[in-house]
Amino acid sequence: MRAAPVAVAALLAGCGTNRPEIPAELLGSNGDSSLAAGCDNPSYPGAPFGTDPGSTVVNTCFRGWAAPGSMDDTDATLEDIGFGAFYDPTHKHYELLLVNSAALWCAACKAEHATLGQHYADLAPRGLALVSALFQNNAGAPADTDDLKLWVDTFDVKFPMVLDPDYQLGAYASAETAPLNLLVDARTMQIMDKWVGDQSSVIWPTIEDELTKREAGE
Amino acid sequence: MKRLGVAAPLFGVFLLACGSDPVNGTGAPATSSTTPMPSSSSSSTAPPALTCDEPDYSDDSLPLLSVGPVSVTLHDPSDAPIVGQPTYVCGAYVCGRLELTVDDGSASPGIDMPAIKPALKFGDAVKYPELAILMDDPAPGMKFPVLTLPPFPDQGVALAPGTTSTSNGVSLTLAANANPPEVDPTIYGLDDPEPFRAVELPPEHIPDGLDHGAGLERVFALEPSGTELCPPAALSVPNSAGWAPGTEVEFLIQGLGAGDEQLFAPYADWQSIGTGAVDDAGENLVLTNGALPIIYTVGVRRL
Repeated sequence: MRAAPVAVAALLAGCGTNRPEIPAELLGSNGDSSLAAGCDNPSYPGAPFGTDPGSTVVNTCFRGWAAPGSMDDTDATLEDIGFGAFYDPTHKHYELLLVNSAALWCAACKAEHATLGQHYADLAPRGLALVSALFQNNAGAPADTDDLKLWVDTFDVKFPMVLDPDYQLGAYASAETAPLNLLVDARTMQIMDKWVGDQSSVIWPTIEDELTKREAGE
Repeated sequence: MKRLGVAAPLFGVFLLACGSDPVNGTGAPATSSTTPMPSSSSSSTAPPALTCDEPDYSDDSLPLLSVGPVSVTLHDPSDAPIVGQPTYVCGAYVCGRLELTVDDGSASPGIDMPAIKPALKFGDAVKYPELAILMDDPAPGMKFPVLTLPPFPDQGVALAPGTTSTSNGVSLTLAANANPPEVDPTIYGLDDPEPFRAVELPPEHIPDGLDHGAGLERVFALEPSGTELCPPAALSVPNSAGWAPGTEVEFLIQGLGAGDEQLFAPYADWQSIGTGAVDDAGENLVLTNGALPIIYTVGVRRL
């Protein structure tokens, strides 16, 4: 189960090309290495990658729903969604990307998701992108499509919600500590901030301040 | 978000109809009685949902405490190990890894970052109660004594407005105009409504530290955990201690909401929901001054 973070670490240490060579095991829970457009972004910033503020996030790929509720949320409608989909050097669509993790057993994650959608609705028009990754179910087993469906229905999720059964986001936080929130600059894909735990009182003012600065041209 | 308060004056009437349920052991049948309701009008539109106060006890200014790994072992009341139940160390705003109990009932959950109000949480809130023990002075490698958890009864009873639902002698009465209870789908799923079940923790096995100094003498676990009851429901629990009729008691609930959703009680701690007394028959402890706003574990202490 910890293979993915190990692979990420190996990737971080060894990349030298202009774009990340993502190992097959990171290309989604189905093991399908044929990248869909949602994950493969040839213009994505190159290595070196890292996991701490100031470093560039690797273009990690997940399976999920880009717009939950817009159609039947089933296995058949899962699609590849990677960080590369949010890379926006001209900031035409996105200024910031918030990457969030959640687990069904995690009370703090549920509390966070009770208001996450409203924050997203308020700030998406100003350039915030949000993707949340569900990694485990109530028994601590890797999350599956049924778990993801349960989550998006319960919280009426309207932002991209993906599965992370191998806990790829574990590369960014201590083992299975949740929730994780990673603020990424969509222009560069560099990590700006990293918070472990539901730190809503810090996260949202930080994001709003940053968006305000950008709107002011600072 | 705060909502408007709604008075719930009808509980005494409902309680009169449900005060004689015997104290049953695990697996005893649950019962439900329906309070006669006035005949409905011809209108097919559902009445608007009531709104109730949701006091929030979240406080992110409390100190961060470091815990690290801990050891825990779960047994049932027959002293048999409980296998496959979740355990974790969660603070009010962050959770550590989940560990399931193994063949001997043991598990080693932990959290490797400082947390506000770290607590050992255990039980799935489905087959067994979910409880939390706050760690005010945690130390890495803490080993908890064997914790005893009784299972919920196999049979539950539906919760519905205008009915009294009784499980193992614990009775909940929802007002006729109550909102239909909505259980937490992330625990109980979306398909079938989770019934009401209750079980008393054996008093001799109430885990040390569970009451966090509240001086609880009796503890009753209820599910579906986290279900808000609006207006709050009337509650009675069996007088298993054999206290004399008229003995005054206080009822408290243990909060399991986290983050900014610590509604009705602070995370992992106990909050009074009202007072009551042993009924005239000496069979039940009846909450008369207050009501149950959410289904959580209930603790009772004498005043």
